[in-house]
Amino acid sequence: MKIVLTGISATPYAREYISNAAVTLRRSGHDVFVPHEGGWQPPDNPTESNRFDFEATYHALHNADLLVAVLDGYTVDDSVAAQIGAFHALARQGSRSRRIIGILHDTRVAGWDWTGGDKALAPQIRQSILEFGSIYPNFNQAMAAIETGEG
Amino acid sequence: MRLYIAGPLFTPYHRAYHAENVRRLREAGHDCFVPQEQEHNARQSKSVPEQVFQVDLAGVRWANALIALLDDPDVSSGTSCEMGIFYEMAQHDPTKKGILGLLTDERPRKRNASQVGESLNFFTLGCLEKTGRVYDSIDGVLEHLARWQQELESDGLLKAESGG
Repeated sequence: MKIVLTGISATPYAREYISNAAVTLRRSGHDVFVPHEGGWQPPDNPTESNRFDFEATYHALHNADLLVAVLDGYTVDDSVAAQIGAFHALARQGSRSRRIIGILHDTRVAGWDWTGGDKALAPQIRQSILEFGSIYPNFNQAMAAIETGEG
Repeated sequence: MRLYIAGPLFTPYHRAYHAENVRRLREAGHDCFVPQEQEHNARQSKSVPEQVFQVDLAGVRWANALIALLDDPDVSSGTSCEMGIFYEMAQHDPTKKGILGLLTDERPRKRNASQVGESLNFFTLGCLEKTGRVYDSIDGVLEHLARWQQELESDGLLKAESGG
């Protein structure tokens, strides 16, 4: 499956989280595009800098079957939100089957232990995702949903 | 030195970054009060604001210096509050050396590079720069702490007891 995996890319440790998740997805046989890595193939030192390229990311969204979006932040990161919006439009327009999976850790939004779930997300973001998929509290649950085709 | 580790704890990667920094600080011989290691955060779903405030305030009072992770689009409100409390305490307590910031986030750095707007809120940044400095990695923080430790030792102000 062709997957765009996106999330906050502004700090080295946030990039590390995304790139580590991409490694797991690639090991399962998926093609994975990570915006801060700048391409479908991971560069050497993928977390060292933010290699975001607008055109490359836009084309990757066009070619992807699945968008996996990490929704952290007091509000969802604006770059992530823009990618969700673009992918949602693509999913509605074409005949190709596309899915969106969200991952929400942020304790300010979901509560500690995910007691609040995804309900406090902005409704535009939440509904864009739920129309084509589901939102999970961590990468492991999202990964399980990807592998079983659920969500 | 006794250090209070301030910063956002809201995601697993925030907490992993703090944990790695704390490992480096302890390796250098510092005692660290780390909010994410405290009981009230270990039982996160049962945390209550008053308890979080009392426990963490005791950590701020205990510390010789405050290390503040300034990342995210804006400095965490909890971190800013802790910085303000520590700053005021330091005005009356010579064992409190100051606040060192750690900023890895490219968003405030871009605002600073464009020389418009605020890289960080000016009151928050002023509170920090009055007594310390902002660094982009824990290496700079460690070097600065070594200088402060020497000053405290030469003034006979370094207390031996451990709290974190």
